[in-house]
Amino acid sequence: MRLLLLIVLLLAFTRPSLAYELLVVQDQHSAVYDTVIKATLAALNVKERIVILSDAAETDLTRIVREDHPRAVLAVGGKSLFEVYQLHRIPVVSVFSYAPQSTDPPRGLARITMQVPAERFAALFRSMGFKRIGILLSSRTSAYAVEAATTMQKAGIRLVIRDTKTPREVGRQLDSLRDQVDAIWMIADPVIITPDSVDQFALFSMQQRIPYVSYTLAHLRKGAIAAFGVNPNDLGVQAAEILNSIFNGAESSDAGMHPPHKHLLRYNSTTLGHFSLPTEPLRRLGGME
Amino acid sequence: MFLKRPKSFQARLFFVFTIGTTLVTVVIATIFFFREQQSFYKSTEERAHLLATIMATDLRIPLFSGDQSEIKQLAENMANQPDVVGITITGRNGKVLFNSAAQTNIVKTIRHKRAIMPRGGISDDDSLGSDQTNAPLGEVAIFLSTHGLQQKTNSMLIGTATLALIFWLAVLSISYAVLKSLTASQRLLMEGLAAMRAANFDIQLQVTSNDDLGDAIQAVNELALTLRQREESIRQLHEDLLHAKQIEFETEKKKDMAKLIQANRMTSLGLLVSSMAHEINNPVSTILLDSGFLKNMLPDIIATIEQSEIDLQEVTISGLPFDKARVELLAAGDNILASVRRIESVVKDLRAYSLGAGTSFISDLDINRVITGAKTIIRAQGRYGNATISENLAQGLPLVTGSRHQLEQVVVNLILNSLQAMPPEGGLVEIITSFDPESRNALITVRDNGEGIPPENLSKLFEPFFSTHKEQGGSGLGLYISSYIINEHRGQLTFESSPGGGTTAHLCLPATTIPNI
Repeated sequence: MRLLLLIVLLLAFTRPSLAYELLVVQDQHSAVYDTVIKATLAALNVKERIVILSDAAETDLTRIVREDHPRAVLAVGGKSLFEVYQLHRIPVVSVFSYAPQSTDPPRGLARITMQVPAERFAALFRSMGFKRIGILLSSRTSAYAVEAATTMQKAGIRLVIRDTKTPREVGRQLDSLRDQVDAIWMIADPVIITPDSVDQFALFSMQQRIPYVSYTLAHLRKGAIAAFGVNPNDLGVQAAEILNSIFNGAESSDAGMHPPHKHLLRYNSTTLGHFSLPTEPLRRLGGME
Repeated sequence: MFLKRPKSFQARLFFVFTIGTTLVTVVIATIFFFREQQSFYKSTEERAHLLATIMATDLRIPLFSGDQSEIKQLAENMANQPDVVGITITGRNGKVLFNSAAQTNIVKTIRHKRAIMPRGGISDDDSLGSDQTNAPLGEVAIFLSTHGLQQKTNSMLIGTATLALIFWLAVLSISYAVLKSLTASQRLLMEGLAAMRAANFDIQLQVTSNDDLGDAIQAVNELALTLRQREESIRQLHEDLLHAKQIEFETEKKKDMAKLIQANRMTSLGLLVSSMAHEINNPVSTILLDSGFLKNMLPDIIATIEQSEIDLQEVTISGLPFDKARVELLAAGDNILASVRRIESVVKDLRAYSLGAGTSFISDLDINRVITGAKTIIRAQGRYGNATISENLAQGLPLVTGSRHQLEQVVVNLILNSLQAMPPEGGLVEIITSFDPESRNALITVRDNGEGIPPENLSKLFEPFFSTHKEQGGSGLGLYISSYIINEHRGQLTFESSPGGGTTAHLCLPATTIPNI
């Protein structure tokens, strides 16, 4: 009887050894995130533990890693990426984060970027006949900003830049683009892009009848005429590939930025109809509704 | 009957105040109720407006993007709002994108419709702007249930009625206390007046205030005191009056008894006279017969003596010489016969008078005979004393209608009064009969030179039992009865008199026949 009681107490008050290999950290409950994770796990044959940051006020990933000794960490979302920055001795694969590349990323961090190459946007703008493109940037010197400017210049598209330091400046800066541009290019800038600022893009587009193109498919429901995105399933598979190589012994070669294998172009015919814009050019670019 | 007007002033005042308070309460409650109802209706409309505005704002981007799931989500979230019974969202081309109001009874809802505009500044209903940049993206209609309105109306009605009732009861309670306090003086006053109305003048009210009512209460107290004193006075006067009435009654009773006694005496006297007359008649008849014999025999006796050879110069009868005695004897015989006849006549008249004979009216009555009969009675009574009764009876007087004995009684009373008024040394009573052609009355005048009648007694002459000579046997009924008799004869009896100047009685009787004088 006493032995049974001791066993019950030990089980109740001691953390059992999870014996998992993959620690999955995600920002919040999200169907997209779940798709990525599901695809990742399907391609792996490991045990996992999923930690959702939004479920707790504070999550000590360092302690979890120290105590559970997973072999790798999969960070899904921008906040998760930020949290795994403190993990230096474990391989981390990050997906679905739009944060710009850090100047001092952790050594074992492999990141599948969400950024779409500027050439794709240039091709879209050219096909739609947009010659003046407005863009809000928090930093003109970021890698993507430089890439965007260079690419648009080469494509003969005039890029009208507005420096925006906070999300509260978005409305004002957008108003300054009235009658100056043919379309707006929303890029993934965590400094500027918030749910409210996305609505401002949509309202500006609707009220000023200036279409905008976004970096994420989710914005098709927010007034964007077209958006580039990544299939979450593909992301998951790509993440699994990196994790597999890590589990198979590869380390530093997998660290760094990994562009997604493919980008999707989607368009919103309803929104295009408001602007009386054709869908054919977008379909020619491989876009789908 | 339920609204029967109360009697007391306090109750009436309270009744009026109750009615007034009720009306005011009902009016205020009604106004409050309808205003609240209107306010709620308006607030419901405003809420519908607000919800429609919120929906219109939230639907801009989803409508613009054609995001059906977001539209549906937003609509369903809105539909979960309390009192929202239906939402209808239509797109730019009128296509219904969402409709949960199909089963809604439009009549019992409040509807608000908004056009969904791209720009800020949402406009109402059908505002298709000419500006295509702000063309409506669609339309949203919100249907709010009025069930809450009905429930709120009911609860407000109950609440208002309850509050009104509490207010009404509170005001009534306060007003009752105030009215009671204010009308305390009035109530006291009414109590005092009621007590006096019930003839209770002993009441003394307490003066509780120094105002008009207090003064009125004081006045009531003084009035009660005055009335109490007057009542006492009246009671005393009543007792005095009663006592006086009793005394008067006793006096009258005595007088009536005296009258009765006198009448009885008169009746007895009449019977006595009748009896006496009857007793006297026999000896009178004997004397009459014998005196007749003597009168017839005396001349023969005297003639016989004269024819005798007796020297008549030498003869004396009772000391008188024969010649004188012869004259005296003849005169005495005549006197005896005449006196007896007179006695007979008096007794006969007295008897007839006492039996009431001759009281019936005859139309051929000679007033001179009345005078003669009256004198006979007076002589029989022997009441002359030292007085002299003279008569001057006119001849050929008209006859009158009446009772001889009653008129004799009147004349007897007049003569007796005159004789009673004479001084002890005597006087003169004149009896005169005449006719007044102007008035066509036969007149009997009885005049004396006695002591006269004081002016204050002249008006009392015909009062019963009034007499100034009761010590002489006067009953005080003579002139009372005489006046009655003369009235029966349709005549008049008047007096002229002055103290020390004698008295003249005028008796007028209407003539039955007019003489040729």
